[in-house]
Amino acid sequence: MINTKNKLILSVALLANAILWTGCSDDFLKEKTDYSKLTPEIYNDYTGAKMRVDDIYLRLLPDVNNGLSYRSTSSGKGDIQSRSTEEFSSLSNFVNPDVVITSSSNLDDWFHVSKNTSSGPWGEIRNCNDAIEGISKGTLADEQKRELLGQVYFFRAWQYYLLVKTYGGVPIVDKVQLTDVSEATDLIVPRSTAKVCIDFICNDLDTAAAMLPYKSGDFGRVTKGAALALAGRARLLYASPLFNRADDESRWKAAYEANQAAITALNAGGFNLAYQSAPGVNAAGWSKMFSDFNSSEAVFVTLYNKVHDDDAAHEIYRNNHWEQTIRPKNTNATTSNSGMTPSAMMVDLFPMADGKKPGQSEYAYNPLTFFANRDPRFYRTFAFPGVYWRFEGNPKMWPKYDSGGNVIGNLDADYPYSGENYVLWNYSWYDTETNRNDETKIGFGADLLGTNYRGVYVRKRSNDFDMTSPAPTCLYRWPATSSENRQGAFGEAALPWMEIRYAEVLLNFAEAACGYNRLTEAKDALIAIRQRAGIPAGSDGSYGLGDLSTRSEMFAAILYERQVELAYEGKRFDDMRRWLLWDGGANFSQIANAPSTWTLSGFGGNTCTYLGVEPLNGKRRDNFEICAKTNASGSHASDPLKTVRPLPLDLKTDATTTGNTTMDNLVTFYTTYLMRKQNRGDEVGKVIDYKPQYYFIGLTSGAQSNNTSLLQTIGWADTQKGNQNGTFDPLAE
Amino acid sequence: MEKKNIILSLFLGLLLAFVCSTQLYAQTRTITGVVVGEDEQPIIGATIKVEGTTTGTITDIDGKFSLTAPANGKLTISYIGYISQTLAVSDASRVILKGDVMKLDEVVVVGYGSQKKAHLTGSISTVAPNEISDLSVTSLASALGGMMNGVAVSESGNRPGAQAKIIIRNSDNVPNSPTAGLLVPLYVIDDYIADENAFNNLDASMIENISVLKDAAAAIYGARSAQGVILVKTKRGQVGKPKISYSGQFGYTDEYYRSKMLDSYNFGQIWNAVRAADPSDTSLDSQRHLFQADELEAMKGMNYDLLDKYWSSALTQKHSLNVSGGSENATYFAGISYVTQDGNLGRIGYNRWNYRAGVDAKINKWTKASMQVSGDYGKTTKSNVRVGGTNDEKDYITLLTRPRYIPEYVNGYPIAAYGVTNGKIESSQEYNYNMVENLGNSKVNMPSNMTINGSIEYDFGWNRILKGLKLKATYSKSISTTKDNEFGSSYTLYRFADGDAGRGGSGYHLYTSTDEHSLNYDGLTTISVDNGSYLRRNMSRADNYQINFIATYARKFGLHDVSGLFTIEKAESESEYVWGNVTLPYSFTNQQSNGAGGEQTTTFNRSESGVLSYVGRVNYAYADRYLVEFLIRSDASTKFAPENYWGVFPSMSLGWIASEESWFKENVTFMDFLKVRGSYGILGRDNVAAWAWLPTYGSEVVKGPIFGSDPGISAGAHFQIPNAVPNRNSHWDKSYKSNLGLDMNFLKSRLSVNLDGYYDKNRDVFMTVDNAPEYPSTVGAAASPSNYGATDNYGIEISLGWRDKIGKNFKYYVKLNTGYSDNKILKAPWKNAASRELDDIMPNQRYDRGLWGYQYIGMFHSYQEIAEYFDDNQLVTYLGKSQADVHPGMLIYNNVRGSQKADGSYYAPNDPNDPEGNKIDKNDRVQISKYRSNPYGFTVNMGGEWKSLSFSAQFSASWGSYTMMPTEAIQTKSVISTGSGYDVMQYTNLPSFWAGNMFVYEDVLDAQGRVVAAQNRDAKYPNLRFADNGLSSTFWKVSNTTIALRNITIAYALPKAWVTKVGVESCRLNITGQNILDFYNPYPDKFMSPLSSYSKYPTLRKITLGLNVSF
Repeated sequence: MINTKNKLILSVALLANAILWTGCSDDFLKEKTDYSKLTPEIYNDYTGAKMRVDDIYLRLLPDVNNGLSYRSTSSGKGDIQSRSTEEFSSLSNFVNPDVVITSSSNLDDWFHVSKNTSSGPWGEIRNCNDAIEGISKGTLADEQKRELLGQVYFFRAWQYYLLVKTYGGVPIVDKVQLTDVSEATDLIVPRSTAKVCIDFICNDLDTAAAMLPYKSGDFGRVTKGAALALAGRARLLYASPLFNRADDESRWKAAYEANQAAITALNAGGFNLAYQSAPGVNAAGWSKMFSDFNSSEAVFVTLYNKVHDDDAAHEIYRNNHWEQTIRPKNTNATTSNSGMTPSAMMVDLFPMADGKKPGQSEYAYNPLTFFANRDPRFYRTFAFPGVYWRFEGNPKMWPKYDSGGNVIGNLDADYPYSGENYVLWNYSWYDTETNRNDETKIGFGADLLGTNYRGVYVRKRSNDFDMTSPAPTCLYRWPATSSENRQGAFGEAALPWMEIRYAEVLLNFAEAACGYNRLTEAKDALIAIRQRAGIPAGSDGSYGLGDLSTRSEMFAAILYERQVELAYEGKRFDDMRRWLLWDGGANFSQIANAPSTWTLSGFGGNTCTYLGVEPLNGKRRDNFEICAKTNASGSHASDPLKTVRPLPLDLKTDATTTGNTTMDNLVTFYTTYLMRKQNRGDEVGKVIDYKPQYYFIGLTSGAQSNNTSLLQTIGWADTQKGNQNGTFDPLAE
Repeated sequence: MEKKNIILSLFLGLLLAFVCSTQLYAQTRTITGVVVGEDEQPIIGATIKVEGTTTGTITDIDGKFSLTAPANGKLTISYIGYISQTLAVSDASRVILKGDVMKLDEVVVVGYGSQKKAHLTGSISTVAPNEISDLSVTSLASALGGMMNGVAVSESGNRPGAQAKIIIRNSDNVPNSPTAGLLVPLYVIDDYIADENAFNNLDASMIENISVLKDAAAAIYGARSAQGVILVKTKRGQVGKPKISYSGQFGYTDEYYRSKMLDSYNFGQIWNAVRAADPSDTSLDSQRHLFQADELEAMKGMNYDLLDKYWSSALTQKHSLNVSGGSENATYFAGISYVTQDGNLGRIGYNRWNYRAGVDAKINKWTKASMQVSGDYGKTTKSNVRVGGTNDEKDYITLLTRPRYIPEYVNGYPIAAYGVTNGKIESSQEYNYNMVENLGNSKVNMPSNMTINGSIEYDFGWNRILKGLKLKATYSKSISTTKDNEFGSSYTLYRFADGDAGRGGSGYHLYTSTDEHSLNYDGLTTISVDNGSYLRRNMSRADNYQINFIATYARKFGLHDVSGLFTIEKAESESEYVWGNVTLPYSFTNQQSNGAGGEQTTTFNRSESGVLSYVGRVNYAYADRYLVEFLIRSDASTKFAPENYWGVFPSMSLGWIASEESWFKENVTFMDFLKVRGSYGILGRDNVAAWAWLPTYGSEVVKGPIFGSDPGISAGAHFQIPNAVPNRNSHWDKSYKSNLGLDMNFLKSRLSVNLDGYYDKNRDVFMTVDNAPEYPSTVGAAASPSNYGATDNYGIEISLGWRDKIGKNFKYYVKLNTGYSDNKILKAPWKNAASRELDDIMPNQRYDRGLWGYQYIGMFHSYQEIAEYFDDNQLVTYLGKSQADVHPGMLIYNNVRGSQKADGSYYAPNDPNDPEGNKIDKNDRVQISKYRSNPYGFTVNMGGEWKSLSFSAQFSASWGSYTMMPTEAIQTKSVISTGSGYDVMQYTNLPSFWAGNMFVYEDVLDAQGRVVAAQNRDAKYPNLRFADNGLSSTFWKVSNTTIALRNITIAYALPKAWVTKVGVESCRLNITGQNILDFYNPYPDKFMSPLSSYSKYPTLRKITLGLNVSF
């Protein structure tokens, strides 16, 4: 028997016990798991965390097929950016004198897109922040964390770089924010100035560089060199006249150091100018690097595959449609692609074979025989009537259609080539002289091109058979029948896209070195690039560059070299913005309320004058075609020159060698039978007019209404404040 | 040690501790006595307890009792419905109990215990099971309709097994609620937190008491109580010899009302008038597109009324058997019941078994333990219709609305419901009720639930200081499983050839012959119809447990009545399911996966959650007059992030029983009881999806980036952030509830009046927010459901009761419930002013924006009138149509407003500045009714008793709003159809009121020039051809007023003298009718009833005979 006291004690003890076991802790709640989805547990597993990083690659690697977007850069096609430069005619909204881009019209919104994780830069940044926080807090070994985090920091910086180069200054969101509407005011992040943004980007890239390897075992992943190269690009952007109106030397110095560090790291990782020691004939090496799946040139690269996938929904394919875009229609019968026409301006500005500009070169420049004696890179950048442009495949097999779309036999009967013998004969002819002289009229193209011929084709980065002998393995699948390839000829292609390649890093370095008055180092970089292209050293050993004794001459040479080396790689629009090349930066005072700091005080107050180039504003771009002097009717059979065609130019032999009879015969053929006909590029009577406020893109009304506290950029209407002029100054310090 | 073992050992520990304690003995004697009522009739089953002990007994059939008690002790004698008495042992030989009119001793379950009704300070409604036990329901909530003020019951349908839903004080008025299904009250059964299904599955015969906590009193269930709490206490054993009671119901169910449809002949004429109504329609072929005169003549004799063929009244029955009894040391209760309701169509139906058994044992004087096991298993069989889209109502709708000239079988061939054009307008035409029925296609749901409760209680009554303190530990565990079987197969129908080679009649429209053209079987072709063609199983199992440690204290110190409660509650639940599907069952299928030849799919998953709570309650009463209650509950839920697990919900209530004051007793004679009470507290909601706070990732096995050196590698897997991103910040939303109540009894308690006024401020209310401008895009994700909104809910509730006798034998009562409630939305994601429509929610307006529609001002009778209307109003377009597309037979709507301006306001009609010009469009709508549902109404529950005969009835009325006639009745539109336009009429019949009442511009002539629809320009209703006539408008408004006798019971208790002879204690017979009568039908031709719906499974009228016997 237990006495009362004991019972009391026992009871109290039991009570205490009971409270303890039921009540003391809510830990059991924390053990609950959500089984319906993957939880942050994935960050504790290397494969899981890597899958997250791969998602960031998928979302943020520039994709050439997407066209311009908040996450994909220009990739050489005739997009709104390239049509604002010398590369393509046809007035984009940026340069159309009749269009005023405002925050509510004609403006692409790359700032907001939508409040969504799957579209828009902020969704991408959230994705990165989530991975950074997840991996950092996870339980992976430090080494694994560093390997993965380095990649994520790189991509966060990349997305910010894309925003900053467009908008000048943007909000910096460096953590995963709540998605709680009731806390909305706490979530507001104001725009930071360019200085703060660039520092943030470079800081991320330094972090990334410290974590990333010199060379990744998994080609296509970013490296230390890539991170430092992007930092170099960002520093150069900040040193450029667009941001550096007063020509502050310290910014050039920072850019110089950043790019120098990048080169050191890249070299350590085995990156260099591909084929520098073996340029090959007609820049064959330079050309081949674009279609090398694993190139030492590829600093920051998006890889594609050529997996055959007959179900669009499977999406195990990731293709680069560049080859399909650039190839002439008569190789491409099943798709609407029919090649791209470069502007005449671009064709005419390439150097001559000695590396000097037309007019300054020892080689005379004849606009009709524009292909004679040009920079070796010219032949790999453009295709023209009378040149081989071989490929793997055989369009002869393809069905031939009448105008109603009915099959009327095979192309075979009329068509002269198989892929391995393909020659581009894209000259044209007209039925009357009046039509031939009318720049708006289209003639009839040879070799079944019909009205789909281009005067000159962009050939750059083509994965063609004319680079090496024997022919290279192609990165595209060319189907024997049209039904075999869901995406059409050249559609299933794995051509890599080099967003940053080694030559660009060298050019970035050269420009920064020039800005920092290291002219010799700048020139050495240019020489290396020209050497790799196969330009002869010349008697002065300057590879056609000449003395370049002043900073401005050197800057001009570097920008010219960029224009040539990086032609149709989507870089020119940014270069023109950086250097204010539409108006030399002389018109900032036209912007209402523009601060005095916006006026260009460095570079002589006008970059165009400083560089000795003509501003693009006020100019009109044309295209041209090569047409027969003789008229004929518009049918394949009535080709007036078919029988007198000379042997085509084979790029496997040196085009510039004097005594190259093929070249000589082709020149003769041109001068005898053909004429250069100007085709309308930009609209008649209109000249390029890029307005000074476009140098910093404003926020769209949509972006503003979805982020009501954001300040509009000076020069753009603030739709949240009754269309008053914006007040945000990206250049404020 | 595992958790379960800890719990077990604790129980054993507690058990051991108290088994050892001793009982105290004193000098005792044996007392015998008899208990009678005021009418000198013996009271059977009255409880006699020795005060201060748990010793007791109950009276026998003659009202006699016998027990041992201390010679100087006191006895408490109590019986339900009578005022308890406490007497010295010596005075107990003959006890006269007085009827308890005021029910001051009535005890109300209030959560973790009970309270004297008189001491309540919160707004709590109760229902005694005998008030609802005569009703035949398969879902307990259905029986509660109209029983309690502020407690609304809505039926989810009328099919067997349909579950009813309870909404307390309109607490579901939450716009943009992320999980509308969670805006339901919290259900607590025997202190175990259950759910709506568990509540609905209870059997009334096993229930002791149902309480509904409507105000801050619900804060005892804090976090999840903002929608109110429904508490159920089930029956326990009573001391005494075994008492066996049986209750049975036998009855039938039948449709309350069947919608009246057009007969074949009138349908044919209407079709002709509709098809030919548009003079600009040049496609009309007067032979092929119209019923010809000979066909119409033949249709007069056709009436393939399929609903009538297949509909039948159905049986419903219920049997429950309960046993209870016990000794002083142990009581027991066991019950079993079976309820079944057959369907009125085909194989649908519902049945359920319930069982419940419990023992309350006294281990020693101070220690009690109880065990209970209960459960149910049921089966609902539904029709399975997947032809032309899944729709559970399709069977009924197609039977009701099939045009009556189209038979189901022709000469034994099952045919599709192809109308005039003999072609398929949409797949639903190929649904053939009888074919699907014969194939055995159905959906069967078989849930089964089992709950085990155990508790042990220790009383510190032996200790001078701790007296009044009780400690209790309870453990409840429930296991719920469900099994769903679905089966859909395929079948073949027949179609006649087109034109001359096929159907009968001169226009080839009939499935019989006419003199002019005979039916031709030669061209019959088959149609293969797929009713899903699949077999499916879903098995799920959910395990829940709840464990409580409860300390209660109740003690009286003179006039101070103090009680308190503290409990810790922990609950966890987990559930898993396996789902399997296989397609293409063989025609001879055994309905197992080996009986099908198609693709097999299986998924399975698991979910889990947990709750931890601390609960406290303190009650203080002084002199039974001044009452104070303080409640606090703190809950932690895994629906929120760990830092937001906890929510604290306090409430306070006060009461003053003025009638207990001596000055009141001395001076107020007309009033017997007056209590003023008020409560204020914070309650919570967690109506967000589980895990909405946790970052989650989706996995995609394709589309990934390419790495390496092989251009042939496939784009592989990656883990992505879903668009629905977590809101780690989400926390309990809050409801600040205040309630002021007045309880009064007048005129010797014959009249009782209860008044309650409440005002609930809901704040931080969870809402989905698609577009909040202040939420910046830089967050990089869509806004998650957030604690964003604010709403106010308020109202008054008035209950009046009258209870009296006429003469000696006739007793009667009348109870009236009425009130008014309203709400205001203070904050919600409003639409921008410029895009906000007239009927969208607006700041500071009620959730119910009323009924909006066009203002009818006439009907176009001629093109002249149309031209004049366009001219007079300078109309650009009329409902998007140019003048050429407007025809006679269309309704004329008034030009009320111009277009909407950027600030949300409107241009005046005919304003020359209106940039859009004059249009009749959605901006011209007017508010047809301020409310969508009736704001006013009352329910009367009444009853009477004359000797052994008694009756009770429920009568209800509501009014104050208008509604639209069902769109399917006023347009060529079908509930089951996605199509629109007159072609829907090819396979859809219309209500009877159209016959002879539809506008016909000119005589419609068939191919032979015979009139097949006569001109009717004075018709009351517009032509069905024009869909705009069916828009919501004042033309079609009907009063929403309903006045109905919901149910009535007449009962007869067999005289005791008769039944006792055969060993029966009591026997009662009753007849009960539900959904008896309505008194107001505003619909034309009364084609439908306001109590039923136009084209869905109808409201059922139930008539049941009941038998209650106890032994």
